[in-house]
Amino acid sequence: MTKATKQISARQLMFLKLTGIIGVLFFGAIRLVTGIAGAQGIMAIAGGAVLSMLILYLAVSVAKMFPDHTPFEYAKLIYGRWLGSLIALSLVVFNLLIGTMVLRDLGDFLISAILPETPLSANIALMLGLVCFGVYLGLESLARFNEGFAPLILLSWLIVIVAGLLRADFGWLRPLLAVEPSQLMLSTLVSGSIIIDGLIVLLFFSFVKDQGSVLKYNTWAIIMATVIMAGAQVAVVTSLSPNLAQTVLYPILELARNTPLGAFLERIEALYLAVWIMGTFIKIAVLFYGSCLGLATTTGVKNYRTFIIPIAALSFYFSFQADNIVQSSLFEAMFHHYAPFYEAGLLLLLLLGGLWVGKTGRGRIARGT
Amino acid sequence: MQKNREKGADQALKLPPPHPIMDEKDQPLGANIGENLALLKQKLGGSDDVVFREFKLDNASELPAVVVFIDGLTNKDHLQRDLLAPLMLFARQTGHAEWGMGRRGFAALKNHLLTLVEIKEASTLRECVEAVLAADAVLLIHGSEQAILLGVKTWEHRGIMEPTSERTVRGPKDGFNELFKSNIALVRRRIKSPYLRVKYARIGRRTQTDIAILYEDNLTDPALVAEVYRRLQYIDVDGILDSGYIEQYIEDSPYSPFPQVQYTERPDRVAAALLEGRVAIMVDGTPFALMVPAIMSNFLPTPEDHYERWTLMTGVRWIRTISLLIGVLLPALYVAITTFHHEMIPRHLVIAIAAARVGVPFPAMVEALIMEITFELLREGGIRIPGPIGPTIGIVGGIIIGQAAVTAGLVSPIMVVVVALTAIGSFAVPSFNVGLSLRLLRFPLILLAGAFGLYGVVSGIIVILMHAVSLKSFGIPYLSPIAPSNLASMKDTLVRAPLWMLTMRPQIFHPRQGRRINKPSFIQHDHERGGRHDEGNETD
Amino acid sequence: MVRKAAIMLLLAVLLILHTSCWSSREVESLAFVMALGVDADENGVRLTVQVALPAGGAGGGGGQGAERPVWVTSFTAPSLTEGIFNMPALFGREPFLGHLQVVIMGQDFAKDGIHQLLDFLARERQVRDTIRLAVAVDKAEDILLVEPKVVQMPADYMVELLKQGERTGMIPPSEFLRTRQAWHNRPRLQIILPLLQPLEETEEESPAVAPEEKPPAEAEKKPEALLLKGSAVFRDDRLVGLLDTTESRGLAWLMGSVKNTIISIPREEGAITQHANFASVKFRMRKAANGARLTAVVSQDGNLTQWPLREQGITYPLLKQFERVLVQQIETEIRASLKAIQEVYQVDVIGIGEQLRRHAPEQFAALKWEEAFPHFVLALEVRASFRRIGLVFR
Repeated sequence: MTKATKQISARQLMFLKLTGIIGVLFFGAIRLVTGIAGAQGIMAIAGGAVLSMLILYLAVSVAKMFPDHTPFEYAKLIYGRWLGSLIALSLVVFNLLIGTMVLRDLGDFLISAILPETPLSANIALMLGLVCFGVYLGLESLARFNEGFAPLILLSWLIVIVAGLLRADFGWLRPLLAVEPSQLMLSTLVSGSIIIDGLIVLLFFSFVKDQGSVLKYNTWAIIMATVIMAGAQVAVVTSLSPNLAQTVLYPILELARNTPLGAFLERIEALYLAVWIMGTFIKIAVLFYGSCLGLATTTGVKNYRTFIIPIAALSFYFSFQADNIVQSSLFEAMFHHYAPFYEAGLLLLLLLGGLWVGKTGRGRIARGT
Repeated sequence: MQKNREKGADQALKLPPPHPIMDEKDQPLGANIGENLALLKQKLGGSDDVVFREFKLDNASELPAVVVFIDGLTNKDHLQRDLLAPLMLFARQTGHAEWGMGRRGFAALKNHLLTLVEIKEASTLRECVEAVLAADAVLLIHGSEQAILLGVKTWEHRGIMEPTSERTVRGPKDGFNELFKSNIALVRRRIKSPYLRVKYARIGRRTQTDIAILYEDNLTDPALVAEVYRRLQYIDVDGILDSGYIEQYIEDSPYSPFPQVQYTERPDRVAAALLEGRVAIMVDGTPFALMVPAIMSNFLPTPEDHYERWTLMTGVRWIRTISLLIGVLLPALYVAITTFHHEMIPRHLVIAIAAARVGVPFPAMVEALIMEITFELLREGGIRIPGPIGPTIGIVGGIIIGQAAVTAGLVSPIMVVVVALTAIGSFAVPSFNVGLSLRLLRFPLILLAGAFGLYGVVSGIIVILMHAVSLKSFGIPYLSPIAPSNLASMKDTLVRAPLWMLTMRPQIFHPRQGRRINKPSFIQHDHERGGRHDEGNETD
Repeated sequence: MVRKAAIMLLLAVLLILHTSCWSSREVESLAFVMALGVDADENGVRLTVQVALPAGGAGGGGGQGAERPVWVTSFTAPSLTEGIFNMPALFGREPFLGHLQVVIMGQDFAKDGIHQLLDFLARERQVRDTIRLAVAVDKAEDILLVEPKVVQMPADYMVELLKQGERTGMIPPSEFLRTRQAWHNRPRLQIILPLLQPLEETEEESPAVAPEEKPPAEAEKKPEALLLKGSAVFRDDRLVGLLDTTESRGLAWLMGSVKNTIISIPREEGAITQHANFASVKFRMRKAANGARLTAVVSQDGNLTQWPLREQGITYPLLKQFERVLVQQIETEIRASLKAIQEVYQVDVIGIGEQLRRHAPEQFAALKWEEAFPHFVLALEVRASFRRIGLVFR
């Protein structure tokens, strides 16, 4: 792993980020945001978008300093072998954590919504099998697959949102702007955490061919994701009512179930789910790819594929750590409260370190010039 | 590859050396015809169809000569008229009575007596043996260390007929036959460009099969041509009996269910591929030419797509895409929905399905598998059955699948509908090999649908598509221009844009010259000039 | 590669063999419950289910139209959930609620409390929010026994009936989603549901048929149609009162659910009849003597279907005059219904409190809505008009 091969385009990275956000939005995200901010969730989501753009800018600034290296590598370059490995490992664990959470969510979701008697382990194992295959094929294939499917996911979201808005009673949004500042801040943090969606841009910046347009494209990804999330939130709140939206486990599922398309396509939510499951797959696979890569870099193993099975086994184990769905939801909510701090902290650490290294000249070694 | 891209294609290429036809060491021909003949007879005399015609030249010294050829592969009329007659009868009359087999004499023979079109010289035994086996005749004359190879090839062959596997309503009706050179000629006739390169090679230790590599020199990516050559060089096998052999030796991923080399028996299709900057490979003895690289979007269109008007063909393309999806997914979706997602079926239909399935002894998944396997049996049986009784199998199959199975309570009528739709859908895919591979993918999908419902189907789709996106044909991603996306190339993929809009060649094949249209069409031209086109219509 | 393929194949086969009994259900092994009735019983609850019979749908209905497409049966269980989960044992098949369309509650059951039922319906993954709820005047069982003539499937008939009734305003909206919204956005489960009653058998026996010729089976009378009887009003998950169809329409104006109704105003010279085919309601804060006041702006228009005056043709002033009568009529209807829910039952079933909270949050916060509601004065502004007059201009 001396130099990351340039294998994806900035547009593909944009779609990866977009799918990472909207591919898992149907679990509990809208309930979380609505649960804190109520009908005014859209303000929180807008705030979250700003927050995530800041993080994105930070991530791109860090990554630009080391255009040919993954963060796992330059963490070592900056902070030396031990501290750098620690930082790299924290990133690995962070990815693994998000991936495992999504995995568990998916398992619970499938059981609650469409496959009531299939064991959780079977659902999770099938998805893990797919993820292993995806990680094995590598980032390039994942990015291509996603590039083909992200428009479909986007389309399904648009259909759900528009169909929901057609039945909406916008009166539920009133009284406007009635949300307490503390709630607003908290929900901004949570929706920011949802939109930031890990550090994909930081992780895969060095794989991008046209690195100059990463910032532009990913800003678009955030804008699109924000529009989808805000649209979904408004659709849920206005067609289900704010209190119902925070009562139901999966508001988007409820929305899809209650919004018939025309006279005869009234129970097709399973088709939306089918499309969204693909998004979930991409998200988990990309995160685990990052984890495998990080482990390989840290331990000095040549081939990241060595770590596919260990990572899958770990996440399989961890995904059963939550007792029941209430606990896993609580954990998820807690995670979204703290994740932005970790992300911002890590980026600042790398940025400052990178600047310092750049000044003292070791950066030039790092850049290989 | 990068280096080849910069140089011209021609310099970079080295033809695969033909496999030696003889195992022993080669040896030069001597001046003594008796020795030469003995050597040749030792090599070829074991076969009774090899003819050794010995005669005397019509000159002063009456030099002995012999012509060697294989009966049935050569045109005896030509030999008689253009070789034996001049040499045996007219040599004296034309004033060449006194020559011997020196340099002058040899030149005179070539320049004044042999009226054959195609003549080559050979000086080794191996060359002579190869020539005889390749249906040339070999002339040996006493005193000469050079043999003369006479191009008098001819053999029985089919005429040019309409292609059976790729029919079109509109478009040329000629198809390739088993004759290598006439196949190349069919392509040559369509592309009168001096840049069209036809490179011969010979592959197969024992069969010595002629193959030709065709490409447009200043158009095709030289790296691609070099890669084709490179892969061909690795073929070392005793026999090549069809282009399918070549295909399987040069494809990127032999374990994949998807074909990565396209075949066709239509010369217009080969010409279209060459004009897109792809490479064609012709093989002697088969009507199927190969085209590389071949990606998914090459398999779905038919040649007609570009002959018929674009509005129609865009619609037809979409129908074909839908039929492809039906062919792959319908049985799996049926199984998933009727065993997992009953709420998706409208309530009156679900009751009807339930009523139809009462008494069917198998679960829906098994029912689907049984019916699909039955259908595949019928399809396979229908191909193998001799021509005159072919329709019988259709009738028998129709009755078995359509009615008797339902009446006997084996399957439900709705399953019959599903299977029929699937069959029609998969046959609407223009390429037979893609249709076949997609049809085989149905079975794992049905199994997954039976185990996990739509989640299983989606998992199956993920695996298939992940595999497809990671697949490459000669370095070209298999699902381009969708993934990785290339909007310009999608003009001829998702839709079929009007021909005059397809100004650029598909960029996915990295052609050296991107533009294929240099001038706007008259519609665009008039539009820019302010709509003269429309005015003309009005004043008329 | 070969080993990998073999392992994959083995895994796949194992999966399939292992999973055949997980979540999959063959379609013919399910009992499709189309309608559910819940009655109170001394031993718990009495459930009545309409199960679709596969045979009914398959024949195409051409020849044997007489055959019933559903099977209706009742049974008693200690509690609702136990009853539902006892169903497989009763049918010999697993009940499937994904195509459930109507849930009918008997009046006694409704009086005992419906929270458990609503909670079950909301929590069960198969049940959709698009099902319709209704209350039977007497027993739900009688409603489910209906054998409609025009529509074959009784549950379809009930749904159509409830939809049409909702459009005319005779009954309130019955969609479960609406109930859920009310349930979660208002305290104390103040909701309103439609009221149904079977059409009573008219006793006029045709004289041609002698009494002894009647087969004994027909003695068990099954209703051929259902009647819409207005609304049932709930508070604290219990039924507290009934409203008739006119009162229901009074509320329906305020709920904006009227789509297509006939308003007939009897007068000395003859009735004025309007076919209202548009109606809407908007809540606004309007200036009043003491600050802003919540005002319901009800606007409707429609066609004149009956002109009362024999000698006098239609003139613009006359039409305007009749419009004022119409406005008055609608206002009276609304006021009467408001009086019923405010003073008699004290249930905010149309969400006036929610509207106040939306439009004047401070005012709402200052009030103790539970106590204030019975005395709250909702200002009304009714706009009614005859847009068209049919095909006669006179």
